[in-house]
Amino acid sequence: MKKISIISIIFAFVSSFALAVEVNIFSARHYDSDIQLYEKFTVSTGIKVNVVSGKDKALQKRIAEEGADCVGDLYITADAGRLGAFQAKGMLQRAGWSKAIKDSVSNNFRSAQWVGIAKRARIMYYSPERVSANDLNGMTYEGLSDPKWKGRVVIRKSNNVYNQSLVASLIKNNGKNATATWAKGVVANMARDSKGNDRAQILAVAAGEADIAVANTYYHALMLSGKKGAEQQAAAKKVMPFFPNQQGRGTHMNISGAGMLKHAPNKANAVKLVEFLLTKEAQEHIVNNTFEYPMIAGVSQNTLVPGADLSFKQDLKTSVKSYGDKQADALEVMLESGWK
Amino acid sequence: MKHDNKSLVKQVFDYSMKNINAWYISSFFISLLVAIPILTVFASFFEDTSNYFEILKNTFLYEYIFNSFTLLFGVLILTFIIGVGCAYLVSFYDFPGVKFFKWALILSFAVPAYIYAYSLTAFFENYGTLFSILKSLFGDGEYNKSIPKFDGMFGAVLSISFSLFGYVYVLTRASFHYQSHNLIELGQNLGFLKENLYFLLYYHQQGQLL
Repeated sequence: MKKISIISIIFAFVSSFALAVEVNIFSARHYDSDIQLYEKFTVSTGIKVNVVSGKDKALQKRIAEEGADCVGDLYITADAGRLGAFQAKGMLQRAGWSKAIKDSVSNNFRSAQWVGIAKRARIMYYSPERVSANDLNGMTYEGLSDPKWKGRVVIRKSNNVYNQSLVASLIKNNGKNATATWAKGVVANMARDSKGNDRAQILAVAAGEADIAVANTYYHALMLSGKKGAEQQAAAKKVMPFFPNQQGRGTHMNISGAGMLKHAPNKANAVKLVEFLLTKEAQEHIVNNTFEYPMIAGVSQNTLVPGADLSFKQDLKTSVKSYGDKQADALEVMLESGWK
Repeated sequence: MKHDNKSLVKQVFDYSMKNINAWYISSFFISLLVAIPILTVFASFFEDTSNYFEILKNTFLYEYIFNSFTLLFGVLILTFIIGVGCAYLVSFYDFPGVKFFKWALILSFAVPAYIYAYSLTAFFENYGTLFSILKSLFGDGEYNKSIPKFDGMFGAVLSISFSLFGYVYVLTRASFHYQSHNLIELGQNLGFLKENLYFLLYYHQQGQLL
């Protein structure tokens, strides 16, 4: 009897591993709506999703420290610069993305190790009272260093990854030296020392502290939605979005994405989850909750998001892979220019 | 005088050996364990830092050092003023709510500095809480420009001071409570007027203490 019970315990223990139908996610995206998506995935596939949420750097540190013991399969975060830099540390592996994933996401928005699940653009917001159409005619990111904007520009700090990715894209297109000169010009044009998040930049324009701000598209939609209060909703209406570089390479694009962790124990399930995140149903959920742009075509728009119909010219020439590659250079350029 | 001919080193050695026991060893290892994070930080000085340190040295390093000292002295002065001021008021004056404030002031410990920082920023930021209050009181207006912003150095000093003055408050109040009254009674016995006592005894005593 004793033998039988020991054998059955061992069998139960082993089978729990062999039959583990699950996928483990380390997510730096702190959206409740993401959890609802994972629940939908579990309902439709029977694969359980275990989520570890946390700040980006803390999660990266944990994954690195745990090494081969890390049970995480996917690392989900915002910004290709983060994914690229984490890949460069050797923390991700070739995922073997399925044909469905490759067909959904253009080569520009994925690597062998990670793939975009939603898009965002980093654009400008201006005060229609103080900035004329003529001022903005042919406006580019490069144009932010033009002395005509002296004391009128707000943008967040140099340690912010969205800025690092934007500057990385400028380095990729214009070279490091030209970008270093540009960064000095931008710092000279700042209305104040960099501070606050993207919404704070938009609010600064609405409050008359500056005339033009740089911020991601979904922040404006978030404010317009009223989720950040009536005051911010009213303030968001006082500024207008502007998509730069329309005559050239297009507006700077970035992604939220998922990377396959180096020691992922449930790789096949992880690929299935990414496939699910790229379905029309999941993409609609993302568009309506986080106000990002869908990664696939044919998803209905959320009209609060600037450029929701994606009719503006996106920069598809600069691969988002370069944001990680040039991240260190970008930070260096910004710091040396005195960008706080 | 048996130990006279022993060398100083030997005496010190003997003294330390006498104190080495299980308590000594266990507390030594516990403190070592507690010190690991701090030692790790110091050890990181010798790690490869790429070229960021060089960049930092050429750009913001001296500003950061200056800011750290400004923060240090700012917090020192403000915690002193708030801590001693509050302790003085609740110890020597009787006003409505004094009992409440006696213990409630200790609660500042419970709020970490970053919570104060977030609250200060959110209250005074563009379209923040103060803006909403002004708008509801006086109707629409361009209030943002006239609202002071507390997200710089001054805000940092305020936040950290609000969070830490409790230490000064608790210690000062305790000393007011246990020492001054004895001295005051002693002074009164010796014939001082109550008003003079504060200056003669209390300030003298607290000055030494603080």
